[in-house]
Amino acid sequence: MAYDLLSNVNRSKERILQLQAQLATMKRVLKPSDDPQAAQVIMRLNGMLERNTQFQKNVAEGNAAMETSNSGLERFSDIVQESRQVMTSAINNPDPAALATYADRIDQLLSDAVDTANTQFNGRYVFGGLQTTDPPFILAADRSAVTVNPNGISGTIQYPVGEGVSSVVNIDGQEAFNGTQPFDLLIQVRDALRTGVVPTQAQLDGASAVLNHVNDKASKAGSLLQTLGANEDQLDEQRAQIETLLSAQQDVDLSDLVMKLKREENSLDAALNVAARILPTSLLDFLK
Amino acid sequence: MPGLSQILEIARRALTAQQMGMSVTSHNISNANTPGYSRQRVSLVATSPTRTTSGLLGTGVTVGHIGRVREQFIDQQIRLSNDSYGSATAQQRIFGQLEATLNEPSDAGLGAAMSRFFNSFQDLSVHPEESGPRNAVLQQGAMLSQTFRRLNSSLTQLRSDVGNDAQGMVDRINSLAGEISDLNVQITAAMSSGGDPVDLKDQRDLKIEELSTLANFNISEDQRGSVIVSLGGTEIVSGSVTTALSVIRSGDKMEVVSDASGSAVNATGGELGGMLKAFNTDISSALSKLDQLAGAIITRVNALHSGGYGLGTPPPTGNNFFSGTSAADIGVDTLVSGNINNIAASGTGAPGDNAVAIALSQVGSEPLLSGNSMSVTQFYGGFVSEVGSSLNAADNTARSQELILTQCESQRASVSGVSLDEEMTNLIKYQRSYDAAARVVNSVNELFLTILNMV
Repeated sequence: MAYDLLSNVNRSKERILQLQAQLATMKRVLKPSDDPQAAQVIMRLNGMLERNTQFQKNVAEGNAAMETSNSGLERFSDIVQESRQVMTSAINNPDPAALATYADRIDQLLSDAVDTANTQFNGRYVFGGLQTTDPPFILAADRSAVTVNPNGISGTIQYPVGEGVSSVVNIDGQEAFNGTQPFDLLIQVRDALRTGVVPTQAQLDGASAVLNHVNDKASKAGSLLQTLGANEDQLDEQRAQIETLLSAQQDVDLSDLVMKLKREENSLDAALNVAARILPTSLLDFLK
Repeated sequence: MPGLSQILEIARRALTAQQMGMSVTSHNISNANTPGYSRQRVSLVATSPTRTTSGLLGTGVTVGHIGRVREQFIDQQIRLSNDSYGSATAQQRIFGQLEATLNEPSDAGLGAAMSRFFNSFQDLSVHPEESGPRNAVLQQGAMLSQTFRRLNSSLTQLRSDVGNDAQGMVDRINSLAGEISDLNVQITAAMSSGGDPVDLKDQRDLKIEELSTLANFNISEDQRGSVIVSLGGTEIVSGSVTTALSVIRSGDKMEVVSDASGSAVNATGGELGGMLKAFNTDISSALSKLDQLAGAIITRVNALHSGGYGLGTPPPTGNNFFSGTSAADIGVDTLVSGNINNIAASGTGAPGDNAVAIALSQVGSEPLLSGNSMSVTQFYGGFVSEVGSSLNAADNTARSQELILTQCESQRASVSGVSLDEEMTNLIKYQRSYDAAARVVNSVNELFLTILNMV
């Protein structure tokens, strides 16, 4: 009898211990043996959650890089716009003294254009293609020519932004500016102005073409940013889904748990109570 | 007509018999808490009657036999349950340690280390030209290697602990076998002189029961009262002869052999059986799974990594990321740990190229194992869940066998156990009978006096 009572009390205590561990951590599955199937699912979902966090970080990085590219392209567009205005003014006011000033202004804009094309983000040249560590466009010391990085300026960079999904996060220099074309045009115009020759209609058309091209690329950057935004929304949604699934697998139902705990406590109380009443009694109590 | 002296004789026999009853009761009460003790009972029998002219006349009582109250069937049940219970508890203990070593699901387990390692390559893919993510990759690679090596050495240690425990268990079996053979000798001696050595049998049953938790022993009893204990067909105790067992370990194989014949003994049940299985099958398979996992990661990561380019002029290529081939010796290659620019992220040599870093970040979900059908994360998840299931099954077996054992033991307690209430009742019964018999002596004495006074 004593043996039975003892094993009942012990079993009851064991169950209470387990319920308390669940209550303290608010998790249903603490060890794989608690629910081997669920443990496997939890590990998989945790892995997905971690990857999701990583993808969101990647999207944020991609976003920042694309924002920089986008504003670089807009700035470049402004520079070309202004150069075109200077060229128009020179055609309308072909005074030799004025032409020299216009030439200086174009030279200034050339520097700005090269600087903008060498825009950096986080120490990386965003228009450098895959060669992100070296400036893609080099203005010769005598300012006579602009050359590209001899290692190349093209190449698409993609970031992983989802399971099996990657997104483009750069527009390379070749594509963005059509190589050195805009710089070559500015150098031609500047040199012509210095010799007193006004820009030709072809050069003016060339400037318009560059402007269109750069604006076109700026809108491409915008659409890439939109894609990244869509990726981000998708990741947020996925995260919510994973978290719901994870919670269904590992979280405890608090009210259910408290009820169970109360029930176990009551049965332990009862077992101890019965033991306290029965164990001390014996025939000896009733014999003189 | 019987004489007065015959009545006196009957009363004397009654006094002796009741006194014997009281002394057995007293023996029972004294041993109420002795483990393995079974209640003894005096069987009283009426002595042969004498023939008189009026018919047969009783001649009183005598003590027939002092025996123990014990049911062989329950004993067998208990031994059988002990066998399964022992093996389940051994498995429970070992898988419990295995589960604790794996420490899943948590941030400190191998699963998290793998996931962080592969994710670190994603960080590298976002910043292939920077040193920060390279350091992180290096650190996570070292962490992953360390986790593999730690698990490997913990499991190897666990296996060797199990081996030592099995050694201890076999020592205990040998010493129990010696004690049983000694008891065999004493019991056969007592029985050949016509007695029933119940207390010695109780002691022997207690030893046999302890044996039954250790392994799948077979017990049989011969006519002379001595037991034969055998394990998987090999006799360990037969009468006064014992055969010692010993444990032989060679590499990842452990066997129990009989010293006499030198051949292996087939121990499948009990704690020893559970340990043999854990040593030879469960832990070895866990170790081999870790090796497969580490091997797959090393091979695939190195193949991708050596095809990629690091940072520098000219960009370094052809370097392995990991050294070693298994969970025991995996480590980050010294070329990589010595210079983080040797970590290959680029597929072309261009510093901004991240093709190899992306490919490396996806190694965790590539189907590399089980005939190219499972990714390393799936494989590891399956392994953890398998350990969990095994532990779960061992838990359930242990619990159900414990329940059966409890039932059998309480059944045995109700049959063989000493109930103080019952013994007190018996004591009163014998005492009253003794009183009555004494009263008879007194009456006969008075009758004698009456007759003597007549003279």
